[in-house]
Amino acid sequence: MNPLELMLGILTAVGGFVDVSELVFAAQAGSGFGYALIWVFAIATIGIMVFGEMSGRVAAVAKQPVFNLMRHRLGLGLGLVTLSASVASNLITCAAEVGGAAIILHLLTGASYALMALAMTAVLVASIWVLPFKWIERAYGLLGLVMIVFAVALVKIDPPWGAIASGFVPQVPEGLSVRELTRFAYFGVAIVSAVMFPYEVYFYSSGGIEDEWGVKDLGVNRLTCIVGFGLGSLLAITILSSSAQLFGPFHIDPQLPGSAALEVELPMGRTGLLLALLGMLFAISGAAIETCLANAYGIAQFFGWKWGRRKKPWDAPRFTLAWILLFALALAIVLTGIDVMRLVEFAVLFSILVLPLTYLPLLLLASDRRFMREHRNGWLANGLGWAYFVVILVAAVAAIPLFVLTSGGQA
Amino acid sequence: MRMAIILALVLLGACSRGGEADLPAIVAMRSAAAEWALVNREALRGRLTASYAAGMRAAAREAIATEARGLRDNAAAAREGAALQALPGDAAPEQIARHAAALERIEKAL
Repeated sequence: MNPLELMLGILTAVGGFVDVSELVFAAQAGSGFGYALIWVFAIATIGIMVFGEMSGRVAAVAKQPVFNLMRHRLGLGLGLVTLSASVASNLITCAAEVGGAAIILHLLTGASYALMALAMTAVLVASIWVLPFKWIERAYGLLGLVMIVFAVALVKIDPPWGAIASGFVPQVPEGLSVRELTRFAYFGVAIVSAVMFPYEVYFYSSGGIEDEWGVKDLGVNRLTCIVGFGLGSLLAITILSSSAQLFGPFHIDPQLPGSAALEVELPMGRTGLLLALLGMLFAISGAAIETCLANAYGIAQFFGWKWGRRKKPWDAPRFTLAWILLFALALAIVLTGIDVMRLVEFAVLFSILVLPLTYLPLLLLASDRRFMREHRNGWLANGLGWAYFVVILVAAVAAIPLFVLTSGGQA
Repeated sequence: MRMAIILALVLLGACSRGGEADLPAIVAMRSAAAEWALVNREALRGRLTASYAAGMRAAAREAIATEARGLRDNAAAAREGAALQALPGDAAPEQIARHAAALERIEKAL
């Protein structure tokens, strides 16, 4: 295990963890319910660690990307349904990320939102075209580490640390009205979805195959998932905690991706504001690339096309065309003028519906001795995997009623 | 057990909405106004960049206008929405905050 590679992998996972949905839902959850939803972040993070590790292990041992498994395990019909739902979910998520990044650029430069969306998409397409896979992942992941400024800001405002720590204990706040309880449940489901987005697993496992992982990389895979996702999630929790401290007293439900930057501005001034906006820009841009590539990986793997950024773009032409078209579609959605916050809500809603179909085939294959040999799931991975499968099933069933009842978390 | 109670309350909640149709719009207007007031307070202290302040003000005003158009039958909230829309982008934070507080009172009464 190369320590430098390991450290870079972990730092990339930390910097690449937060995306526009986590930014929005963490900030809104904190302002609406104080620290009471931290435990949902913690539980969902263990879920993404479990399934992320599983997908990386399957990539390293069975050399199978997630969508290949889906087609074989679910059959062509159900596999196609899952693919269609995933493509729709990832496309909406990608549009939300492109729109979010365009808003941040608009706030940084003052240039028009539409122009910034166009420029952002051009930069993202150029990045994928020019950079080798490892550096696409690392460049945005490492630049996303500027988000650590949120943790510095939280330390500066010196919140009640004991109250934050108690937020890790599963709880439903006392004294909430029916309306507030419904909203609390909606945010719980939305956080599970935002943390366990299916694109993360598609991208992570396909990346493992791009990087030609083997059995020797299983330790790196495990540490990257546990430490990288764990620290990344702590960043999201700092956003929630600052929001509870700074927005809660003003009764602000942060309505825009740019609002979260105020959490750093209030304790750190203009420099903090600029650092927060830059960190958010890099983190959201990285997520836009991941969602787009995850979608193109899924389509190419399902139909058995040549795929991968380790190949020259013209050596995998249908894959290349797929990711360019997906970015163009995401941009088209953004340019319709649809509110980015609505896109974020739809992305989270669609994703939770896709989650069970994504994780079931993975869980089955990771437990299969024929493919995984001695590296198949042990009792802990299997137990956690099935427990989380039940959690996401319940969340998927509850998602649409909660969305309707709360008008997307508004009331 | 607790989850079962929450589920039952959620279902009950679905049956008790009727007159609350305007609530999401009022909550969104109140929050956007509070956010706008905070931005203007920080801008007055010279801690924001001009592009950030302008962008956040425009977004808050647009959100208020959109939500105000969606109001169905709450005249008091519509009045507050109209008053907020009549304010200039760089209005005094206290002035915006007063309207946000009025919206909060309307929200709590529902």
